[in-house]
Amino acid sequence: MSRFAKIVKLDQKAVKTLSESYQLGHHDEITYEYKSERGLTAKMVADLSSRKNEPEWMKELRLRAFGLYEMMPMPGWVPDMSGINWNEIYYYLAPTKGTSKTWEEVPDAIKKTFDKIGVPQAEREMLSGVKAQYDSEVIYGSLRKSLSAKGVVFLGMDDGLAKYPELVKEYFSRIVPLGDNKLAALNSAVWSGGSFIYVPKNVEVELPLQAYFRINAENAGQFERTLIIADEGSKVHYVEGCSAPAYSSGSLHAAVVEIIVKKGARVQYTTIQNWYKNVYNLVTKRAWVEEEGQMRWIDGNLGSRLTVKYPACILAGRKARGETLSIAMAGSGQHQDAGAKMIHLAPETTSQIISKSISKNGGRATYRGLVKINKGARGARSKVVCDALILDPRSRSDTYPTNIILENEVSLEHEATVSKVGEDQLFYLMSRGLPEHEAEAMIVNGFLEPIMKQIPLEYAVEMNRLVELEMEGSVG
Amino acid sequence: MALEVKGIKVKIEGKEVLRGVSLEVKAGEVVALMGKNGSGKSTLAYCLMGHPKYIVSKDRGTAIRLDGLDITQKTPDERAKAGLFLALQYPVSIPGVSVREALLASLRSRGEKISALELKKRIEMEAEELSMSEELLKRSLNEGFSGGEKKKMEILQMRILAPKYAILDETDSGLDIDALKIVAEGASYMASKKKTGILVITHYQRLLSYLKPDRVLIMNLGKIAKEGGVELATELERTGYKQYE
Amino acid sequence: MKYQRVVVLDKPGKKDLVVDFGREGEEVEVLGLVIADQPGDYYLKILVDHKIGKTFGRVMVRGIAKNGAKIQVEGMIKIVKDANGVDDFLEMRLLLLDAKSQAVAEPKLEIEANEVKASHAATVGKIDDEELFYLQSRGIKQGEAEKLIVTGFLNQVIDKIEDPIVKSKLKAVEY
Repeated sequence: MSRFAKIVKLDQKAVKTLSESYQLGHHDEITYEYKSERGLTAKMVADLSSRKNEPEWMKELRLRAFGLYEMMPMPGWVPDMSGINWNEIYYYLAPTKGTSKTWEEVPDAIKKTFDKIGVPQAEREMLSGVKAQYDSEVIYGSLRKSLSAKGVVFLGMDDGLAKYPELVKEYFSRIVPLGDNKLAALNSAVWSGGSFIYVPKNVEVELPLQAYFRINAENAGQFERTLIIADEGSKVHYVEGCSAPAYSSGSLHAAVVEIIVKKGARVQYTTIQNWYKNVYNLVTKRAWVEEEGQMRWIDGNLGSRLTVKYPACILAGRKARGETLSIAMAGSGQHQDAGAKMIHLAPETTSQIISKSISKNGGRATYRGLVKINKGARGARSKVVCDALILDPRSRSDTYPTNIILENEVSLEHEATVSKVGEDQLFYLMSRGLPEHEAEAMIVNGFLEPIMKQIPLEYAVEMNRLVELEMEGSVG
Repeated sequence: MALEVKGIKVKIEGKEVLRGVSLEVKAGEVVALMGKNGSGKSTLAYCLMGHPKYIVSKDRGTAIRLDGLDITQKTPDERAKAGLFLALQYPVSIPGVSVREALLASLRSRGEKISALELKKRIEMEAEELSMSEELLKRSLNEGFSGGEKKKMEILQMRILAPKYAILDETDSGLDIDALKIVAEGASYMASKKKTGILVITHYQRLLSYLKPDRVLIMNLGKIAKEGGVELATELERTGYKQYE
Repeated sequence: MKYQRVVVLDKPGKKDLVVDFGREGEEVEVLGLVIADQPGDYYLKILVDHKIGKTFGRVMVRGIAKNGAKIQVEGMIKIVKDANGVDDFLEMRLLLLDAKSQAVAEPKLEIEANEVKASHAATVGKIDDEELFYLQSRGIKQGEAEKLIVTGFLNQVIDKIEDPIVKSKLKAVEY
């Protein structure tokens, strides 16, 4: 405990009330067009596809995926997910057109968080599940006009499939095959919502494209499927998620993101995830990078009960470059199991992984990474840096990197450090008048700074504030 | 109006390092504290600022008072708010945090309403006066700074925080003559114009040629061994510390 | 209390070393060498298990692989919840001397205490071109230069070995 400050007691009553009212929300009368019975059947999968009027090949793909999902065991190397009862989880198979919840029913603590972070009203309502549609006709309308003038396609995945079936067929589940892992198979079978983006040759999209700009944003995105195709020489930045706590009625999120980075293209995908603390967030994200292409994943993991995510890059063309910058913050009752995978298939490919994690109040932050340099990938270089801060004696940090080098004309460097916030640093900032928790928050933000500065400013500011908020509860 | 220190006793790992130190620094006064290595000077500086590693024994006579306010049990940030500043001998680096961010937070935490832009201008002005390169202001605080640059950064922060009493812990070590003059001028200015009481800890007389003390205290084996005027410092230069042992 | 453990793996096979601590204040230095010059799998596993606080560890592993050897080095530092005041550093460096050889490096950490310092570093690569060039520019033939570099590389560990017999045996080998 702290020698500096007075003990701050956790408001037990508030926490209890919060989880109670959350339970209420879970079983609330949310009207869905179609709600599955417990468990999932092939017929439900087929019906889903029919209702969406999907092409036959997509229906077959879903059914094949479902078959694989049933057969496959959970992958051996992931953390304990025995808490998920696969038969009990509701698979919401149709988007909601509107919910019967009101802003008033949203728990106070969540409203307060929105206040502190400064999230605009409309966003709040959407994020808390009150409005399924983001009322952004005006903004979205003009955005779409300027994008389509350049030939950029930015649609919901369902729309994308309907309007560009050939393009989708060419790439869908090519980068994350149906049988890649059990969760990807599940997603491929029941996916709904997500984004479809196509950027034509040599087009640079200046504004970051944001997930909530899509009209008809489906409910909570449990099984979102995103496909981004960046044609040769193009540039695009996609931002998913928000630092405001996302209040979700579904407790399992199994999303899949596939990205093709063609020759010379540059793609950045930023995620800031702050799902409410009951969510199991299991995501498969993978980019296929061709010659001289550059892919950068920025992954901020703050919420959820368990997040399992290893944004990966397959560096398939000469001089392809992949980067994953990952931040994980694990608080009470949370396990962030995150990291990255870089597979070097071609010569002179480079990769960089920077992982910064913080565990506090009994949380557990795990880095799991893979760097594989295949035979023939001559001149490949990879650098991995993982730093972890453990803020108190109850918390835990693990690092499990695997580096497989099958080619000798390469270089791989890996370093990891685990430490706590330095007493001398704390004293220094406190001697300049900062109270202890503020000093600690400042040091923690400084620790995250190398990655934060790669995130668009508004999100970085929100994230910083969120980290500070999280830190407030950590003294005592 | 003074910083009063009475009967400070400190044990480190069972060994007595400070054995009852008492001194006083009045507003606007410059008091030099000298002593050889191991005499306890830096330990005293840390104690006055409230570093948790040094546990001050709670004897009846033990007290630290700033303008009458008892700060003996206060945390470092509370002492800073009360108007105390410590320029460290070995300033730590804080990765990812710039001097502007740190100062903004310090000023705001004591209720001063200053805009980031205003602060930026003030910092740049002070940096120029201290002959510090602007580039240092953008970097993480003290990261990759030379010894001299770190010391100047401490003085810059002191000037902006404008404390009532400042302790300079071996601020002269690692500085060349030009830097020394600049630092000394900065501190003198605070004492004469802002009435900051300054306790300057050093074991060389050199700094004191530029930052003229009103009184000189000599510390030995955890206690104040002698007190005198500025001539004590010059004498020390001739005779060394042996006579005080 | 300071002591040293040395493990040398110079034939295909597996060696498993577990280091634990009896009481506070103990310091252990682990020196590991993998000399893999035949085709086959070489697997070195080291676990430094801190169940007691105020213990210190330093692990240094150097490995070379050639002639189709496949080496795998796994180094784990574990610190349990109440083991505060632990300071540990693990370093593994592996050199691949030809195109037929392969390496897998797995430096791991499981840390449950927070008043600790734990870090690790791993590198895998080939002989540095700059070093080679430097020696060649002093008139040393490539083959000789490589031998010198490899010997220097392994000596970073061998020179620290306290047991004179083990040390001299290793120093006598030509790499």
